Amino acid sequence: MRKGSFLSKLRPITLGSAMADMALLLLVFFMASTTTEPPRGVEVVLPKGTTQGAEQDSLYMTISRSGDIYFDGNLVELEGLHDNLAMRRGEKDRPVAITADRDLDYAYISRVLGILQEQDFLNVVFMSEPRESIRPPR
Amino acid sequence: MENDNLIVKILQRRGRLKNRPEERSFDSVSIADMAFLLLIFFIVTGSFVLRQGIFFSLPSKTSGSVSLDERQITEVFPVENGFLHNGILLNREGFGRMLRERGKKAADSVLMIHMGGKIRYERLVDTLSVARESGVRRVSLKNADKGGAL
Repeated sequence: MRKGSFLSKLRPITLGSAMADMALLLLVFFMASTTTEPPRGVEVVLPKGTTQGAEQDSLYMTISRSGDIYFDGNLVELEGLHDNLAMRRGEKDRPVAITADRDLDYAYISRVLGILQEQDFLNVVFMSEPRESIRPPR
Repeated sequence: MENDNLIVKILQRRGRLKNRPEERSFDSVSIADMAFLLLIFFIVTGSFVLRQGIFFSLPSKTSGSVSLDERQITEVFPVENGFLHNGILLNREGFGRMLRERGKKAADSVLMIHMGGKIRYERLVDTLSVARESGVRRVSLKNADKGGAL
């Protein structure tokens, strides 16, 4: 390269700020659009239903097919659930997302709903898989 | 004489350099590193799957009783193979149609679901789904075995 030519006057630059901008933009997008998996404790098969909307900021309760109750990912007895809810009375306006196995007997759900009602946790979400829309026959 | 001119030129050049605005910059590479690190964390731990469900409000312990016209109440007993209404077994479509018709006749109708203890939870979710699809806003849940609410 000839000394004093146009190319020799160009300075090499790093695109650090542009990269930071892009990374922050993507970061904000992912933070806003993704959700973290709630503590489940056990895997269950959800029933299908006509869902109303996404639940957010809930207390998580999972009931397995055998009737084991997991509250925020921890296995609890019915009395334990009572105590756990009593300790969290301040959060009673938060919905309780019940993730129960589709083959579970209603008797278990009934007991849990009774405890929730007793502890004044009145907002419940029955978690379910969105049902595929069925086209009416022509 | 020539030396004096040279000194003046040098001083002028220095002065000119001094008058230039200061270039302020910061090292943004570390910010980019941190942002990418957090980005990867969120990509790995997050999920786009929306958790959905059926919202249900339980009655308060202190809530009083409500008197309703008999025409407003629709009672149903979900069973494994359908919906039992007035002793007639209905399928999903039939039950939905019946709810819509009753909803047209009596505004603000209430669906009373009598759930047996041995009935699967899936049936409750399905019954609530049909109620929602049919435009029923008020639902009462009863345990058929206990006779009382829930």
